Amino acid sequence: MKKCRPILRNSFVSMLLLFLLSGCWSSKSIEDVNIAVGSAVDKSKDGKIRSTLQYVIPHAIGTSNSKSPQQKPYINVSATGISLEPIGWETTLRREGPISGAHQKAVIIGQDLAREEPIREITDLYFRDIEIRGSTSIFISKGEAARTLESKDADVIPAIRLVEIAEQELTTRALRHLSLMKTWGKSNSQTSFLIQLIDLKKGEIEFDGAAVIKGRTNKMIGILNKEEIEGINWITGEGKSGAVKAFQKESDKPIYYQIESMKSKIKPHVTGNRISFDVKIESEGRIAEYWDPHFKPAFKNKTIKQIEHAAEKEVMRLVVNTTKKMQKEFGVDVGGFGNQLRIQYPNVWKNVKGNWDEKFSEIPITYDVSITIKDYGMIGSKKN
Amino acid sequence: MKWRRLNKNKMKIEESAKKAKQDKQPFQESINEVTGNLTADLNLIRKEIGHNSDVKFREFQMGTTGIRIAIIFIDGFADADVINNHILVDFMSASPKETGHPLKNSSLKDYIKNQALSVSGLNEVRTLKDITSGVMFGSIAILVDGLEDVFLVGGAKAKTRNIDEPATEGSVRGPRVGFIENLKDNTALLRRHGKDQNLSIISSQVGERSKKELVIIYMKDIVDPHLLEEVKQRINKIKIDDVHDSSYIEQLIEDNFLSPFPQVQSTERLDRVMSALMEGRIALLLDGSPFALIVPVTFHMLLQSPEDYYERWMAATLIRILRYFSAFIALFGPSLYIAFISFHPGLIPTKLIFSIAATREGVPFPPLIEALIMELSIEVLREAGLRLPKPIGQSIGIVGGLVIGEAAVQAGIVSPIMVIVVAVTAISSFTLPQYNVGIALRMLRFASMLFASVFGLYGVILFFLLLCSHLVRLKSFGIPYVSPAVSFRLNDWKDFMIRVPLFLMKRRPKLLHPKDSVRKR
Repeated sequence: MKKCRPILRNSFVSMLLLFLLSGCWSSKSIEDVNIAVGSAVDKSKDGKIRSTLQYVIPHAIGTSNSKSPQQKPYINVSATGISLEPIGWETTLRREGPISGAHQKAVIIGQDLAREEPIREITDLYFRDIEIRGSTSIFISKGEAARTLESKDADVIPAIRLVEIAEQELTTRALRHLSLMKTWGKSNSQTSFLIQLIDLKKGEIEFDGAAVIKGRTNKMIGILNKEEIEGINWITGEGKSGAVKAFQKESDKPIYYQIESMKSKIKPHVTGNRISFDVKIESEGRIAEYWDPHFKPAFKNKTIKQIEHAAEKEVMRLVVNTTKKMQKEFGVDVGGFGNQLRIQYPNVWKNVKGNWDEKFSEIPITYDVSITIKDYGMIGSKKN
Repeated sequence: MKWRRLNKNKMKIEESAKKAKQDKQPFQESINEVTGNLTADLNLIRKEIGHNSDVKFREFQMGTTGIRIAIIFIDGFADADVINNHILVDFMSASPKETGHPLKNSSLKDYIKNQALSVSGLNEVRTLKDITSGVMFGSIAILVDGLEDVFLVGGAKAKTRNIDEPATEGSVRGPRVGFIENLKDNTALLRRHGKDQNLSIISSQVGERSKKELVIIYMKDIVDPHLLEEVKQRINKIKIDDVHDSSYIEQLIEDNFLSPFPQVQSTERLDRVMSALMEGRIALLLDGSPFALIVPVTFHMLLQSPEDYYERWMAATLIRILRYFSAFIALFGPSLYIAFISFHPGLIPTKLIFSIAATREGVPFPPLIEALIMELSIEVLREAGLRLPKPIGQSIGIVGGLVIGEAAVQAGIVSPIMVIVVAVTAISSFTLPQYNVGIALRMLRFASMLFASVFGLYGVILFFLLLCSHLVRLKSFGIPYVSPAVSFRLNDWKDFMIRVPLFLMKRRPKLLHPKDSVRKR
């Protein structure tokens, strides 16, 4: 037989090499792995880090026949160490099976830790790991983070509930869903930003305010409450829905404006050395609740204008209040003003970005809010 | 390499054929001519074929002349109608009046040919071999005392069945005509449906011992002459004692016997053959087989049904895409499942992975073994259902399916999701209009499962690449198997994965190099 041509032989050999790239040894059967869906990082009493991993117990979920009613669908495993990697290995001493991070949904950092360590360093492992997705949500808990991974409800996996609440983005009283990947970018550019704060109320989680992370130090410096989050959402125009109080006097009966869309435009102005911002906020929506329509019929244009005006005033109050808090109390820009300046005046930005947060506290900001009511709902002027 | 081996095989066949010939030599040398003496001739023939119980000899006299006549035929095979109503009646009532005295040889022969015998097909033979073979093929031999010529009358009258819709290739719309076992009926059907003077039907014989008629059918003014030449050559090279079915022909003329894919299309449907002929392909029909062979074949033909052209183009296109999709599932369904759950849990949506993991809990086997158990039992069920009588076969299918599916899950041997995967895969493979493609994909499915269990998704992709590289190399009668996808011709894509409206299909497929490329003006 003729000798094989070298090109044939070589290509055959290199094709065989293809089969060495993977093999049974990389097999991880799903019934053996521990599917981690959430993790909480806390400061332990001895000053180290305590990490808690939440594993799902699949057969305790849903309609499976073998399900025992008392069993919770998750188990939390925690260990202590100086950083996350050794803690992860520590947990394998206590529970069989490798850890799969591909379905990690949430990372919760305790307030104590967030105030002391930079966010970037705490979450480094989550960025570096190939399996863990960049879309994993990040939260900061007011109290101990590990306790937010527990629930009294039998059928609930707390980490997944947490993410589902965050992803629905229903009200302007919560921040928009923040993924790990976004915090990565913000941490690296030393921008200040907000992370959703969660709290425990009667053993169940609640979204309550936001943690302010200072760009320079990358550590948590303070808390914005729900109302101030509303202001942030109006400034950035990122809210999707929610309600605004639309009456002025305390004696009036409640009128509420429901947001259907909101838009905001932050416009920087630079004259010489002076920087200022104009923020134009627009919103369309409907009257969601109007307790007293007999008095002033909703069909009348004048009434509509009054309600719109009241809502505008309320929004104005919210954004001004939040701005004050940003500029005066914390001295950080978490409303995205710096970003707009960077886009529209890149040369100016180059000069100020070094100490933008300090500079931001001095900058005058004017707001212009306009609200349009598109419909009154099902009830008009007629009696109920 | 491969073709060399092929040639070797062919040479072996030829050698054995030669040997067979040599064995037959003594028989062929004993060619005897008929002497004209009826008693002697009959004895001679009796010696040759008289031991067969179904060979009948009948002697009688011609009318009043007293000339002895003998007819030899095979009972039940030769046309009894011709014997009773023509031969016997004609001869027994014949009275060559004009002469009176015993007729001379030549005038007697003329008289019989011209006046007495009222049948259309009449052959004269002289040698013993011709007579015996004629009788064996169903003719009636007439021996007349004093004549050195023997008349062979008529052909076999085989019992044929009705022309039905083929059971293996049903369709909702379209002609309900399928081929039957009788070649003459089949060619007549083709003539009737393809009313074209260029429809050529050329006969040739295959089989060394049992000689069967094989016809090559093509459109004279469309087919590529080189292709025709190639087909003829391959058929001439067949040297085998007997072909029982056209599938013998298929296996003997195919390009690559190592490939799992069928390289010749076999069909019972007349319309499929006609449309193939109109595209410039060649069909082969073997006497005794209802399956016509179509060459050359491309892979996309095997996923098409004649119904694609009978339905309107939108429905046809969607159904065709669905068929490609189900072919994909039939090939990769279980292997993707294995790959995902044993290598890439991260690629499954979170909620789905919980339910899959929950059902896998307590299953003692790794996914590959689980899949093999289910797939093998499905194959066993399918085979059992085929071999059993129809009514039992169906109930076996149902009972077996229920028992295996339900009980295996109850017993915790397999997971319910595995049962779903296997069932969906099996049903997907049934949507393929050609049975032999289904078999090919079923075989490859097991290979793909092995790849998946060892290498994961990466292995499935490797397997797909291997398969692709094989398919790209494969040719059927010089036509690339996966054309028009490879050896790209945009024009032929009109009738590939999609089926454009008929008025846009103006040209015949270019890949077949038709002489007349215009289909529609």
